[in-house]
Amino acid sequence: MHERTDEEIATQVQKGDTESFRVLVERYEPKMARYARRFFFHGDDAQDLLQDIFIKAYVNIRSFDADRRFSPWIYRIAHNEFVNAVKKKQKERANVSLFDFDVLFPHLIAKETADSGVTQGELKEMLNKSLDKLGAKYREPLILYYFEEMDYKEIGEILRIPVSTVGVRLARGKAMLQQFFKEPHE
Amino acid sequence: MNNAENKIFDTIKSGKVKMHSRWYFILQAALGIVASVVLFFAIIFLGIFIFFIQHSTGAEFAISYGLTGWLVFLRALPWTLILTAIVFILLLAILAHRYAFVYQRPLIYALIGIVVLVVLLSVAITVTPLYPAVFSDDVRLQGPLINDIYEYETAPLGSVHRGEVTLIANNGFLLQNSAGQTSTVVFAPGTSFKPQDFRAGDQVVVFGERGQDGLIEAFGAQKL
Repeated sequence: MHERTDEEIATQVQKGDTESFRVLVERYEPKMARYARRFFFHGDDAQDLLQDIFIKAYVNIRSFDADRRFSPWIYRIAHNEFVNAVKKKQKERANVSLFDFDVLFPHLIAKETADSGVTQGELKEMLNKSLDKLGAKYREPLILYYFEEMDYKEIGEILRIPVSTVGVRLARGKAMLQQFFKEPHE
Repeated sequence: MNNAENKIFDTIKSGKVKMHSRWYFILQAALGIVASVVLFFAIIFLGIFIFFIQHSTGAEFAISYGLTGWLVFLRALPWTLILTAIVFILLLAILAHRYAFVYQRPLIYALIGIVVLVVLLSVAITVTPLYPAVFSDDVRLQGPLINDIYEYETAPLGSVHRGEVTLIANNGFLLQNSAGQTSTVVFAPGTSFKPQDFRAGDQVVVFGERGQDGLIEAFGAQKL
């Protein structure tokens, strides 16, 4: 039997079928929990944020355009929730300004290639070990690309940045990680 | 179903949270569009005014008199209006950033696009019959902000003096401004123009500081 897509389920929820929302929560709860952990949210903090994300998704579900993919839409909500929570927690501005230099100017798109120096597996491991060494600006595109398996366009939609900027941030984030692992550490 | 999922559905079922209707989002989008359009036209209006003030002061002619001329030109620019326009453009960029066609491209394109559009529309409007009608002395828009903006037209502009030549003398001429005040203009030594280049009745713009004695020592002058 054909398994309903996220978009089909979201359309049902929009029509008032609250029970269908349960399926979306079941599908996305593990992904959102994993995404929260990458933002260093654990335990009760992570649980509270997850609830907020799904409640916001439910309240705003009628703003979702079923002609587009559901996944970037809910990740966008999660992104906003996490960024706001980080701001509150650190009492400082997360480095995700609209007028960021990377967002302001055009860049050539540098697509990921297999011969980029390290394998994706190695890079995931590096990322896992040293996420805290990267600023939010570079950390989030790497997480979305390597762990959440989003493409450049979807990452651009979630972070509301041009696709070329996604490429720049991924390349710089990777270079920073490689540099960090090259340097001797105690 | 785990604990988190239970809590989410308990909250939904308790009725503490309600799904927003489609109209809520339509209204929200409409408000965003209205705010963007209002801002856009406010920027156009400011843009036209900036062109108008530039045109009416004649300060742009100062740039042909070297560095001093450039400084006079920059000082005569309506900076309050220019900064207000820049703030409005940034606000418009922030409002427009929610739309995919804006955020999918580098922000500089959106900013340049807005500026180019405003400049083109402002220039287009300044050459239409509407422009002289709106900015003539007969047809004046009224309102607190509007009146403040019109003040720019007659405000003293430091080293820029515009008016009509009423009398030619050996080393300068008498200049009467639109308020009927007369000033004596003397040409600074080393300037390349002579009082004989002008005639009584000429509309001119003069560049130079006014001394404590009221004399304007001109380093540049231009017929309009």
